[in-house]
Amino acid sequence: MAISPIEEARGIASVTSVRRTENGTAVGGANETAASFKDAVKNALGEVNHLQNQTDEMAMKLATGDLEDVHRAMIAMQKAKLALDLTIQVRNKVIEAYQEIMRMQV
Amino acid sequence: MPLAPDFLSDTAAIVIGKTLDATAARQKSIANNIANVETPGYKRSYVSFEEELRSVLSRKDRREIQKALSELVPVRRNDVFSPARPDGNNVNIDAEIADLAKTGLKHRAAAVLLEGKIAMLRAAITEGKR
Amino acid sequence: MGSFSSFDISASGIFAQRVRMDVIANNIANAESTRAEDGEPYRRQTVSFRALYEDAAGRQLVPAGVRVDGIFEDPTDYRLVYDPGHPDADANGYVKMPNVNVVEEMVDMVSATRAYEANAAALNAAKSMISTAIELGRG
Repeated sequence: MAISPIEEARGIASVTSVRRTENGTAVGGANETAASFKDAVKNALGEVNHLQNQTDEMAMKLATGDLEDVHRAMIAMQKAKLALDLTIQVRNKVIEAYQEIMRMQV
Repeated sequence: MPLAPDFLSDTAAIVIGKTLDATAARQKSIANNIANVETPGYKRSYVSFEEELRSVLSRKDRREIQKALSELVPVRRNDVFSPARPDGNNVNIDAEIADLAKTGLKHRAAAVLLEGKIAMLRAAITEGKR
Repeated sequence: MGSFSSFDISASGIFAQRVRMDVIANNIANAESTRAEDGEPYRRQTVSFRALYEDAAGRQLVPAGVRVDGIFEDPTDYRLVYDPGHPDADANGYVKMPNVNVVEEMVDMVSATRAYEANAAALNAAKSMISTAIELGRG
């Protein structure tokens, strides 16, 4: 399942978390924080994927009759749905924020 | 432009689809048993599916599973072994009613799980917007 | 698929049990009728059922519910009751009464009612499944 890459968010990072070294040059910033944004989203998607797989397994156990507790499958599915919705919303908000910043006149 | 992916073709979605088939077929078989509860000589029928599904899913090779799964269908069988009344009819109406309830719930559970999968695909496609 | 045919199956069962209930009610109502239409005492009636099948696309037969084969008279003998005062008593004071056992008929009625309700439950279950299936197409 593809969600568009979040590399645009790199722009935000350049405005924050820039460190000053001893000789006064700026380091850190863009690349570091962008990498962590990308990783954060990747991790979140990995978690969503894991929850979806778990839901699928429970659904199949329900189908074969090996799972008697229907509620466990339903709860698993809701967890997966929530995780996905959260990931999508966070990703949307970050892009929104980036776009707003880019619109600012400096 | 890339072709649209084949939605709901993963193993779980297919299994859920087959479960919907099986529970519908089972409901029809129960309806026939109930309709014939007073028919002399009538033997109840049932639908077998879960055991075959379990055996398909327990195979090792994923492609084998996919192939066997695509060929899996619910099968209606005659139950000639359950004890019969003097007129030869072996329908136990209480058992059929209980089975009816169970089957209906399983059908609904499968439908809800499928709806969930569809909802998640849709959320990903529409990026959470309506 | 077979979804809608399940309705027909349950409908046939509902109809069959209705006929049965009507026949039982008639037996009970006439349990004491010493003079039926033909002048003879009322004869108990029974319903005969047969499983229905239909051709599915020319292949094997698929079950399609139940059929009322007919309403028949119970051939067992009339009950002889000693009642010399009865207008239909014979020379020895015995009256031929209908071969209806009201207690048995009541038991049958209960079982017919249950079967009727079970068929109605099956009809509802079929309706429910089709509803669920339609909902899959929404949202």
